[in-house]
Amino acid sequence: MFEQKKLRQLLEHSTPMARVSSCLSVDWEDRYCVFVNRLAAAPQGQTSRPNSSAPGSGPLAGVGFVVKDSIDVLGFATTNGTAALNNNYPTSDHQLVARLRSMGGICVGKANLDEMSYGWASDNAYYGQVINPTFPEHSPGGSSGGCAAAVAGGAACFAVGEDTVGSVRIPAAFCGLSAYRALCAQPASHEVCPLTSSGYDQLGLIAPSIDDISKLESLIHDYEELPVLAPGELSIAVAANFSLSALAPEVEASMHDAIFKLAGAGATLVMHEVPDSFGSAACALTTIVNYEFLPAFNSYLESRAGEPATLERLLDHRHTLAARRIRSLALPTGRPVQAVYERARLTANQIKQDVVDYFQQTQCQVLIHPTVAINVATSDIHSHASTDPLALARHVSVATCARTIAMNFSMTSPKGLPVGIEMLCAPTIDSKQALAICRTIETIVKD
Amino acid sequence: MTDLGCATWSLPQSCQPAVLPQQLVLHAGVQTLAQLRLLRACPVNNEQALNVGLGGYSGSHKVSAIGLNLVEAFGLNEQGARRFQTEFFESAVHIVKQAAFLEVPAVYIPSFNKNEIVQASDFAATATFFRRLCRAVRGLPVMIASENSLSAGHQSALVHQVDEPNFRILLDIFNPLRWGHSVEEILCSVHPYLLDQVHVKDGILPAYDNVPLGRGEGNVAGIIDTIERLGFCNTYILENNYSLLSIAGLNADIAFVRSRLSGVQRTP
Repeated sequence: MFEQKKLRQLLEHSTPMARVSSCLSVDWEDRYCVFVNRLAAAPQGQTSRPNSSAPGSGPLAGVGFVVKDSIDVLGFATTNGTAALNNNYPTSDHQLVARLRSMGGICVGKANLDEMSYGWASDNAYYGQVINPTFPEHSPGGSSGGCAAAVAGGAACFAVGEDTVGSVRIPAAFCGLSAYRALCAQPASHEVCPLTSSGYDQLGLIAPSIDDISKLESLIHDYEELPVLAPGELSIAVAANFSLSALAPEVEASMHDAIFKLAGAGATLVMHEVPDSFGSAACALTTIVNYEFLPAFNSYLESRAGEPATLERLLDHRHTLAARRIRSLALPTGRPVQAVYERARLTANQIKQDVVDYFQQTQCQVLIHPTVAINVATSDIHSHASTDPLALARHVSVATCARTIAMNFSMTSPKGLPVGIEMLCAPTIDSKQALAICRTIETIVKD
Repeated sequence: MTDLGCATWSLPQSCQPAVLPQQLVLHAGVQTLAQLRLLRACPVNNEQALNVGLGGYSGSHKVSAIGLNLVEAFGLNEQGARRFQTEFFESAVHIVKQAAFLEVPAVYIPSFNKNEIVQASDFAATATFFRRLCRAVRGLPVMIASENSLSAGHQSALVHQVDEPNFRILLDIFNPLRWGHSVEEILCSVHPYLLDQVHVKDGILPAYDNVPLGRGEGNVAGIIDTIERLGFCNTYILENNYSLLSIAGLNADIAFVRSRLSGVQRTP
């Protein structure tokens, strides 16, 4: 396994040339099934690829990153994890990718994912089962599992993923990394393969730490980072009925550990229960995805010349597990009826309001909770009956429904399993403040 | 000087500890299994973490008792799940040690709802539990108390069955009426074994809701006068539902109890 590259450390303590050399010289055997497509590895003994473009200038010069294969990167097909889209070449970079490249970052490849992002296991019938480099016996999570495995395995310094039902946060948590679900305007549907049509899909970043993500965000948006806070300036909500209830013992122990460390450091922790609506978030969100996927994806396909015009046609003669699942859940025969969908939208809107009220009542900056309440062993991936999707999505769905900023970091439980700790940010704080708060929390807990 | 306080679970959910008057004494509740497990995992001497486990109240106010209220949803009697009984017992011992560290003088366990003492076997199981707990924490400066729905006679019987010097009965001045018992009779026959803290609420039977003190059927003024004459109570803990009666209602109840205390002389 290659060493993880801490972005801030790399930027502050190495020259652009050294970074380029390090980025391109890695003859990274793809033993973790990270890539759908990648830049060719340099021949042995060479530190840069023949004909590779010269390293650009800019703050990210020579820094390698991967992009989930549902997001457009010029020069790579956007397969969305299905062979049916092998020729889906974009005519431009997604705007975030363009920004990263303009700063000198090098996209080293497109990362493996659940087929059409429809799952949480990164078990792709065409590109293989992503292996978790840090915890090989544990699921890598999904759908951006290739992104997380690339960063955890040292193939890239960071990754750009897409998160609807925790697709960035869950793999980061499972692979021992940190993730950030930003709060941007609705991503342009023609640059990202969608799951929903009403703005629940958001791009996100995966990196070894929130500290790295904070640095990266400051470069992307060209601002000066806020400094880390004193622990006494932190005000953190903990909900016994959400943050601490119905957790696997390992997850519970790690949550306790995090809380004790934060309290011991002098942070203010407020025990305050969340409304019952939070418990319906996963169900509401998956219903919304299952209902909106068909029109959202058909609209995407319409915008891409030369591709089959409908999702139904795309799935014709495809017999993968994901294709079957999509047929049974999202195509007209199994898709939720409109009344159920409308109820789900109402629930999601209620959760959004409840989150606003919750932070008004507690006056806290973040609500801390596990990313996922259960552990998912690698062996569980193939026995789908043993992994309850709603249990996986229970916690991460709240931030999505509430359309708030959320980020997480990963701890190792006493028995050596990965546990993600998520911070759902108050709707009143902006991303700059949120990153300062959350990197402070991460530093205290991981110290 | 008699302390006045409030049970934290009586407060509106939006009420944060910092907004409560500093001089209020509080009963902190362990309301959920998650909270119990958090406290169980917390080292006995980690003051900040204990404060989190107790809902943040012990950092800003004096906590005079911890109520292990979650037991009402599980039960310690014969029907209760055996696995939970073991976990609960071990957690209770741990929490009593934490209470001692925080100088909280009492920990109590309510016997209502699923933990109600309905039949002889419940009574025996409850007494056995309290005896074991009292023995396990003997020597610590923390009283173990039972708040229950028993009559005066059965309260006395429970005290004798447990037969431990650190065991007490926590009196609620309105609850006995709900079960058709006489508060005066309990006071008269059980007061040597009553905890020096009393829950105060009022209501109109048979409804379960609360009303401001003095406006219900609880004869609150008369009962407080009796308690003061007996002289065993150092702390009155208000337990009306202030989610419905509001913080203004809490302040009115505080004024009501203060007015009674100022007008009554204790028996020397």
